[in-house]
Amino acid sequence: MTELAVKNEMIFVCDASDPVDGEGFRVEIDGYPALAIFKHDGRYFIIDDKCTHGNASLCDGEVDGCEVECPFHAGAFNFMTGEPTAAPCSIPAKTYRSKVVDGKIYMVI
Amino acid sequence: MAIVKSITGEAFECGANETIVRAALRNGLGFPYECNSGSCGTCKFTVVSGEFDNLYVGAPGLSERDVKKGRLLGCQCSPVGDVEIKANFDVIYKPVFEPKSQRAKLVNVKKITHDISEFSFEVECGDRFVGGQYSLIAIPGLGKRAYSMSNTPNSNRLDFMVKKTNKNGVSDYLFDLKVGDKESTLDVDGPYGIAYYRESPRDKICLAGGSGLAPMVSIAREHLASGSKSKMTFLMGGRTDSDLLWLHEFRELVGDDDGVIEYYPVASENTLANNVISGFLHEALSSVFGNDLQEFDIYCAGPPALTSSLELMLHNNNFPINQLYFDRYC
Repeated sequence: MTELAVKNEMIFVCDASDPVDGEGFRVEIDGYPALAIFKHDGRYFIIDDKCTHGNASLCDGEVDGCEVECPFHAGAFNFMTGEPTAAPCSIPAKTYRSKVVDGKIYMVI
Repeated sequence: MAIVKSITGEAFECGANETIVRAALRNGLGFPYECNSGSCGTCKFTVVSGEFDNLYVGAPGLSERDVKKGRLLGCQCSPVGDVEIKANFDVIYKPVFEPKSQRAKLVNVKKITHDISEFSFEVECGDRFVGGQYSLIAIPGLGKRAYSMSNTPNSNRLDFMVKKTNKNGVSDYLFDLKVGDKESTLDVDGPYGIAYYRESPRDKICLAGGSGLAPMVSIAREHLASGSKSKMTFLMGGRTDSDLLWLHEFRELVGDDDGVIEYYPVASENTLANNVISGFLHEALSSVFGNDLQEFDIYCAGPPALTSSLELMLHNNNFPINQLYFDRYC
């Protein structure tokens, strides 16, 4: 188990009403790269906003089910797992555990 | 001649049997691309109207969703009549020199390692490229294949390094050519590629794996010719000692008479030599520099296993991706 996993700290990300289905919601938190929050099937997923292939924001990309396409070259990621699902993306994007408490989304680290 | 129009305003002519990536580049436009062979997926675009000949159905660069959304690969299709497209033209792909096709006559073959040779071709125009770029060499009956130039821009010569594979493919066809034969004059189309030498105050690292030696040698030669004050470190990787150049051979090859470039040979399998680093190239990079790479420009050419391992390692170290130059040949 990594040091990060045992901390179990919760960092406030945004209100649960901010992300809507089919769109990424961009959040900036001190000490972290920009984050993209996706809502899918009533659940929330947190992933690094920057594409691992180039300098593009995944929040500007089209959402298709549980995948988001990068607006630059139409590569894609599964935002639930971070796995790349279409070329030219090949490096997984980092994902974070999310938790909803009293209408607020937290990142669990 | 078909007209290709983009919804963002770009327009260019595209001849028969010409892909729209190449036609756009010939017209000086920055159509996104890298591999020119259907694999990397960088040149995806959306068809707005008109028809295309898809030259590579099932190309790995295109996903099922791409096909559903009416996307094609710019490097693998030709328009049939006038068309309209949606593509993300970008200045980083704008060619320094617009690619052109020309006849190239083989004039010399020189052995570099036991399985890599340098092929020199006489051409009409040899000075329109930047070190690190590649050309598409057309082999009758076998199609076109990308080879990087290994020389620096020169008035009438293009040199390529080719690795013998013994698979009866394009590379071995080249090894069978004889200087002076009629068959030894080929069509060469270029320059292509965005992993070319950039002058910058940052120190530079070149990683060359296998026949990725060619563009890295060209970059090293261009660095020496530029008189840049920045330092260059050159790592050459192979499986065994016999795949590698010794220091004096490397210096002679790139013309580094004063020993300006720091050179490390790296063998992934057993090495018997004291001065050869054991391991893969990206691991050797860590052992030489640690994780302190942020202030370097890194150039890399080699097999996909090398470029993808390097890209992942640098990504995990938060290396600024715009200081990494390589072309994906997936």
